[in-house]
Amino acid sequence: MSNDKKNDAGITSPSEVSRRTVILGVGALGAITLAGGVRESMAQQGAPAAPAAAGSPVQFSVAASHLKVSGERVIIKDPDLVTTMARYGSDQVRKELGENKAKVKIAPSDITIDAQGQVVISNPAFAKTVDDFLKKPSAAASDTNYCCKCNAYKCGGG
Amino acid sequence: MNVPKGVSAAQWASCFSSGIQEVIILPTEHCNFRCTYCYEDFKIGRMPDRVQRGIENLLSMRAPKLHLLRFSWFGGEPLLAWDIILRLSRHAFSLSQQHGFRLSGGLTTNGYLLSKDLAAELISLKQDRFQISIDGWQEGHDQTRRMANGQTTFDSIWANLLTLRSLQEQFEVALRLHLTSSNTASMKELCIALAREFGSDSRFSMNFQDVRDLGGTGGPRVIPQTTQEVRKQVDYLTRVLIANNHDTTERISNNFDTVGESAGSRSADDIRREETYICYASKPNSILIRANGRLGKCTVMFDNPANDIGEILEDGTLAIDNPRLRRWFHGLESMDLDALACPAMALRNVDNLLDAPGNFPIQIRAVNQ
Repeated sequence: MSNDKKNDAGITSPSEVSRRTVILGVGALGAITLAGGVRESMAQQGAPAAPAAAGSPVQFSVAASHLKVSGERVIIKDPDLVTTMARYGSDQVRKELGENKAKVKIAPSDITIDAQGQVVISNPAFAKTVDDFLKKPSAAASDTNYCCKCNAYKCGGG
Repeated sequence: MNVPKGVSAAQWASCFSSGIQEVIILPTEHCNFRCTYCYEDFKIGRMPDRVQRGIENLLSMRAPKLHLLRFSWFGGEPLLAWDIILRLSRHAFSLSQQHGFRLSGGLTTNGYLLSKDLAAELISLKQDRFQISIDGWQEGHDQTRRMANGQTTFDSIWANLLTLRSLQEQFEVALRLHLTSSNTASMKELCIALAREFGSDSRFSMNFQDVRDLGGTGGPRVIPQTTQEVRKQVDYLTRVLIANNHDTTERISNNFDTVGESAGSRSADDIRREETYICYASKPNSILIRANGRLGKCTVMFDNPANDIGEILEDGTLAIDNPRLRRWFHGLESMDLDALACPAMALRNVDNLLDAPGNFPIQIRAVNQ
């Protein structure tokens, strides 16, 4: 990517490259505050090549059509990639993704039922999104016909 | 949060929460009926005490972190084991009082044993939704839904429904009205009577379903109908209900809302809200416990190895085959609405799940498109 022009945030601008994909390097990740604890380059789009030591850099490849640069921020219109970034990135990455209301998806391999029958989700970004949503009062009321105030069935009070 | 089209974020998030648990329990797999089209084989009888204790222990372990526990009683005919239903419901009710979680539940029953006293006790334990199937008026019904000993069943079921109506408590009865290629006239008579007796009682709702080949020995006896034929039948019978003073169409739903579903896990309100249907088998926080303690996901394909995902132990712990379980979750990743509505259908194409093509005789239409 060394020959590609970069914007002020250090991100290769999709409009300035002829290739289908661009690479977000560590610098770019830093520029959009997605830095830290990331790993080496990937063999294919959206998937890390191999486990790497914690703290070593990673590059995520993104289809140019899925990238939008706005000032110093980058919008990635690729839910699969965002999910992967959240899964393999640092806590800071996940935090940023949460704050940016990232669109996260889940894979069957992310789901385990433990010995007590509880759902264990190993995709932190997705788990956080679900938890955050379920904390909203409207979510509690939407799933049942029982009153959230008196626990009576269809009492009409809540 | 990324959600499938037509699915609310609330509905989607609730599928993954460990604070919510749906438990479909088969307290017995015996049945006092022998419906001509039934897919079950009744080989497994009553739930032994060790399995009942296992369920109690599981619930006790989970209770402190639960927000909502939802039972769905299925069978066989679950009310043949009414004592087990009451035992486990009482245990859950006590835990709900102690820990402050909400408890709800319903039974998929043929209605034959649903006496007034039993219904009242179930309702008091929050087991207050009853899905009852009827195939027509009197002899029309009795042609296909007979006792195992050959006796007729309609009069007893109708009497129980009238008795239920006399209760003051709040509850829901979803009458599953089975349509076949030959029962339109009998269904018309039934609809006139239903509108007369229950049309103004908001606790009773009508749900039209065409009888489908769900496998087993009964499946091949079903004469399949086209979607167009069923729609025509539903439209006609809906008009009959309304013409006879059934006072709201909100309590009339049809096959196209709930196809693929067998256990009655949806309340009438769920149907009324017109949420996109996500089968319980697609949801990570829904588990099926068979009478012998084996765990599964689907209430139709009982004999398929894909639907045997582990067992509940007497101490309440679950021995789960997670790789096999995950095969039910493809719809969660693809967000394909048909796969979510019937993951069993989606499993047809997954290697190593179905030993032979004949293992999956279910014929279900796509509905969420």
